[in-house]
Amino acid sequence: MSILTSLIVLGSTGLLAGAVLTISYSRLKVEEDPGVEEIMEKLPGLNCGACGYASCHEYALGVAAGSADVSLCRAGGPELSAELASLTGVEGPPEGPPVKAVVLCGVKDRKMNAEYRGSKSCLSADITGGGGMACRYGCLGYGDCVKACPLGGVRLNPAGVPEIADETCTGCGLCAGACPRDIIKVLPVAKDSKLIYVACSNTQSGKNTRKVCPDGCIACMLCVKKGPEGVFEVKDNLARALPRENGADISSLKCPTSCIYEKKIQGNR
Amino acid sequence: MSPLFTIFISAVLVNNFVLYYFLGICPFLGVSSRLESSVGMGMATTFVMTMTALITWPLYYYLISPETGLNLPFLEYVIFILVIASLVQFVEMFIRKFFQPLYRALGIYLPLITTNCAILGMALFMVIREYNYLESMVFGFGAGAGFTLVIVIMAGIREELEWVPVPRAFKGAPVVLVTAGFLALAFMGFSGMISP
Repeated sequence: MSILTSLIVLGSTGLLAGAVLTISYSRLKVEEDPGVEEIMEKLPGLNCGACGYASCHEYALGVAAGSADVSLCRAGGPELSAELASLTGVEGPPEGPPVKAVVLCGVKDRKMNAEYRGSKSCLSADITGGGGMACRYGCLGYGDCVKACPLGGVRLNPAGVPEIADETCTGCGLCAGACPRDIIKVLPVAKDSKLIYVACSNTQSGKNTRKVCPDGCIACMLCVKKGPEGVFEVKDNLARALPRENGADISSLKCPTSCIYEKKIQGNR
Repeated sequence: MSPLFTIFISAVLVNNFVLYYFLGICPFLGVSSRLESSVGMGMATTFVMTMTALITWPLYYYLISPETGLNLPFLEYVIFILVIASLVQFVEMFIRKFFQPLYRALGIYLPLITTNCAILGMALFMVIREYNYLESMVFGFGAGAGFTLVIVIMAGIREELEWVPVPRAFKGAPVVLVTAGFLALAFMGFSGMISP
């Protein structure tokens, strides 16, 4: 008997609660664009804010409403904008090559003029007389870029220079924005999935560069003369890799300060 | 003092649910990092607590109670949880409809009100202490108000904590727990004024 009453009591209470909820649901239903959920699934969900919206959800609302451009998500890259474009039926931007962040400084042993005891941040060190570092262009090594990466894809190598995990890097450029010395650049990867760059940003004359850093580019012109044509140029006492589409073979090139780096990029996102 | 006022003060200050009984610690620590969302959480919990008291009282005395009901005391917990869960669903729908930013700020903690032991604890205390209908309502509201008071105080302290150089070993959860302990110590000053 008590089993039956308890069944009836519990069952009817449950049914009543269910009925009340059903009625209130029909009154309080939130009309959300089903596309928003679909877009949210495609977005990386980092809430990094690089698109200019407060969160991925806000951006998804914008895309669904058609008020936001589909190419704004930097973490998602061109692949994501293509997906979003096909999802919303908007014409996406032309597809470009994948981009990766690289660090244009290859210092192995920093020369210091003074001891810096301030806050352990590149920004503070940079405005405090360059943090005592002899080179006014090089990496300070306090890791502002490490903190900036929403994916945790940046870490400092033993010399205190950031290393970027290429399979993680989406080319969003947040680390580049965090660097007070502007030595992180987001560069396109060539067709042979190689990225050639000169790991130095010092535009002082070769002699003066040599004084502050043994690993800096001294603008000896060797890469321009001996290297393949149209890959390097020297401007303002600094060699730079020119943006190019096709691959280039630089294996025979010997940079006297070994500041020309070549990265093989695997697993593009 | 009227008994209603005593019950209210007892639930809010003297026998505060969070700091005296240590019930509802999960949202107390989880949603107290920002003042705005803690106020929202407190309001939602107060609403659910008051409504729980209003609905579970008749359910208990007309269906469950051994003396006045159908003598089904083993159904007490199930029915109470059922009522609380339905109420939380309702509150969730309501907040989602009218307070979108609050809905996203509360996040997972909103459905977790269902398992907030302070609410079930309130319903069970109500039965043990044999409150009448009006007293139960005041008790439920007082318990919710006490929860809101404490979580808002906590959020205020935690917002200030952001600007304080906390020793590395205490960063994050430890300093929050220490703060909660001090808050409980402060509330101990009320103890004994009214016995529960």
